Amino acid sequence: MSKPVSHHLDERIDSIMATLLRTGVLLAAGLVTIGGVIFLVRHPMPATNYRVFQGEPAELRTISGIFREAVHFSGRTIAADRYPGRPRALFRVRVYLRKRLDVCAGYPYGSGAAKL
Amino acid sequence: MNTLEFTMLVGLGSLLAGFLGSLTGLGGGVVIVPLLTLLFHVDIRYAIGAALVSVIATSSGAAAAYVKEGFSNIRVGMFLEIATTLGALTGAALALHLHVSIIAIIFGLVLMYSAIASLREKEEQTRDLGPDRIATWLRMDSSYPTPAGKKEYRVRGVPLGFCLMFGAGVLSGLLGIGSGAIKVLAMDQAMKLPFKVSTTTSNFMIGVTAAASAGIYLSRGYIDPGIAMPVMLGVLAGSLIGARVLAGAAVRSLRIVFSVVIAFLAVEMIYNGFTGRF
Repeated sequence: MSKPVSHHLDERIDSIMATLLRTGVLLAAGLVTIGGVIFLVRHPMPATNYRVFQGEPAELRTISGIFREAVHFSGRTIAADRYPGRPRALFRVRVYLRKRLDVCAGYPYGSGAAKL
Repeated sequence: MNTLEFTMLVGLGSLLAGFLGSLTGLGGGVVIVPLLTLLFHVDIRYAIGAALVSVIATSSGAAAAYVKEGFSNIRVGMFLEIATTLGALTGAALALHLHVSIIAIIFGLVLMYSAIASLREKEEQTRDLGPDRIATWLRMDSSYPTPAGKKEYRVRGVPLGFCLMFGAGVLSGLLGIGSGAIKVLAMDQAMKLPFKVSTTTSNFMIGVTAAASAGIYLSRGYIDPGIAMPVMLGVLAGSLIGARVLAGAAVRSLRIVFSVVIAFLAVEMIYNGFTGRF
């Protein structure tokens, strides 16, 4: 490969990588903001005590677990049930979405609510 | 204090940390852990988990601009990421077995070094020391934009740089920081890269290193969404604002003030570590 072609390729890779990084950060920040706002609006309860380390529940310890729980909107892992006074943003948002979906589907107390 | 107040306070503190970290070049991550542990009394494991998430976001955000402008040396960065990732995995695994007081003491010492390193005068030197066999083979020699046009440079000391990067990775995984100061030291001093290329390539690498550590921290349940959310958003916003005002700011005096604050935090971390307050 000649030098000018290699240089041009490097510049193209730089450009693609920059776009990829910027898009990823914007997407992540947007997602976190939306999740955070829903969480705060719905749950102004006393703040969690983070002085004592308890560790996250098993469902929040793997990428696949987080995706699985998010996709299924399962209520099984609601932290508030396991650890009273330690509500989790992700779980709360999921429960809220699940309830909304049930209402939309015509099951106000459908499968999602039953699992709760 | 309710959840909203806690989130707002942590978010504001993180915003300030990101802003000052960006202005002084130290990065927001290095201030987040002392801020959360000393001010908000958060367990150091949660603090490190949240700091790692914010480090990934800010590093990627800043790197996007530097990579596009052609400052970062992607070939050098990707090669050294092998070392930093291996180091980060080692450090994160080590963090699970070390007592939190020991982690706090190591954190304080690294914080102290970062404060001193940030005060060091940065000089752009022209150091053409001839071609290096490994660097030439890996096609690492490159150029970067200067006001006078593109400037060519050669890379040297690849094995030493690689070893230092492993150390930087260990600290990153152990403490939840980007360890930019040590990455810059490896590239600037050991590999003789121009200072601007060293800092921007370090920035590009920090996110990858932190992502490797974050995987281990996540699997151990150290990353709590309730803390990581305001910290990530705050540091990201703060660093973006910092990057915008960087041009017109009196950076030198600000850096001295910030370094003194960092040194104070370092002493407190070490003291608390020795007295077993973590």
